Amino acid sequence: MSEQNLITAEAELIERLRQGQRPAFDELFESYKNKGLSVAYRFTGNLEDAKDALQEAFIKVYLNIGSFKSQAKFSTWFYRIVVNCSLDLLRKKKAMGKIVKSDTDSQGNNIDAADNKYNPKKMVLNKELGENLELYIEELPKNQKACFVLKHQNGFNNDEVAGIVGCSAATVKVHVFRALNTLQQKLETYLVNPGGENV
Amino acid sequence: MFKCYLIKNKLYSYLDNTLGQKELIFVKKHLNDCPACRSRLGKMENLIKYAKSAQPPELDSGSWHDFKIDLDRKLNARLVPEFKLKRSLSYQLRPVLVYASILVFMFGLWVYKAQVRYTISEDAHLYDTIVDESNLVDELAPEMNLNHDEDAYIDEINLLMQLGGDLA
Repeated sequence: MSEQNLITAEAELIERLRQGQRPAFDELFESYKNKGLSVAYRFTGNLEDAKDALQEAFIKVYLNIGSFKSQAKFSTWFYRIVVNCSLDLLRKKKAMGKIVKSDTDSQGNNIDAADNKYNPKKMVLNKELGENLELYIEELPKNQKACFVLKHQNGFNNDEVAGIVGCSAATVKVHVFRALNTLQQKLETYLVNPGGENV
Repeated sequence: MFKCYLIKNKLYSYLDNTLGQKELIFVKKHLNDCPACRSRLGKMENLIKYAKSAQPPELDSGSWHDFKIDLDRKLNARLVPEFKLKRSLSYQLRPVLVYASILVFMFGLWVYKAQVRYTISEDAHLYDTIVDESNLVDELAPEMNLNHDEDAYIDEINLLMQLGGDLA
C-alpha cells in the first residue's frame, strides 16, 4: 500500500472513530500499540508504568478524538499524548516517591548490542555505561530528555520530534545537542571512541 | 584551536546530516587533520549508538490480549461513569428533604388529632343516647319496678322502646 493510501485509510479510520465506532479504535490500537509502548517505556523506564501510560493515552485518544484536527498528523498527536501521559505518570510517582527502574535495561540487551562481546573489560564498562546512561538521561531537563529520547531512542526525525514536543526542528537540534554534551561530560570515563583514541 | 571551537558545535549536525555543503567540506577537512575533534566525534557516535541499542522489552500476543481487555474495561468505566449524586446537588436537595420531613410530621399530627376528635364526639353521642333512653324510660314507666342489673339493661331498654312505640 502506498503512503498516500495509508494516509487515506487512516483518515477514514479516524472519521469512524469520531463517530464512536469501537472497531475503528481497535484497528488504531493494533497499528500504534508497539511504537506507543516503546515510546512510553523510554520515558518511564519500567514496563508496568509504560503499559499504564499507554492505556491512559489510548483512553484519551478515544475520548478526545473530537479535538483532533484533521490537518495534523495523527501519529504526531498520538505520540504527544503518550509522552504527556508518561511524564504525568512519572510526576505522580515522583510525588509519591515510587519510581522503580526495570532491571532489563542493565542486563542483556545493552551489552550484547555493542560490538564488544568477547572483551570482558569492555563488557563491564558497557554494562555500567548502559546503567548510567539511563540514569543521566533521567536527570536531563524535560525538553532535552524528550527530544533526545524521541530522536535517538525511538527513531523519530527532527520534524516529527518537533511536532510531538511542540517546538521547531531547529530547537529540537539544540536540545539534542545540549543533551548529548551533558551526557558526554557525565559519561566521559566510559566513552572510548571506536578508533581507541581517548582524548 | 579556534577551528576546533567552531567545529565542536558542528559535530552533531555533521552526524545528523544537516550541514550545508560548504560546512560539510570544512568539517570533513578539519576532522582529517584533527585527532581531538575526531575523538570527540567518535565519543558522540558511541553515545548515540548505545542510546539506540537499548531495546525496550516486547510483549507477546497473550500479554497484548490482557492489555487490551484491561484497556477496554478502563475505557468502558470512563464512558459510563458510576452513578453518584453530585456534591453540589446533594447540598441543593438538603432543604427539600428537611421540608418533606416536616410535612410528613405535620400530616401525622393532623391524622392523630382528627382520630382523637372523632372518638371523643362518638363517645359524647353515645352518652347522649343513653341519657335520652333513661329519660324515656323514666317518662314511660315511672311506676315500673325495673331491674337495673347491667346484663338485663339492653333487654329492658328494647322492651320499653317497643312499649313506647306501641303507646305512641
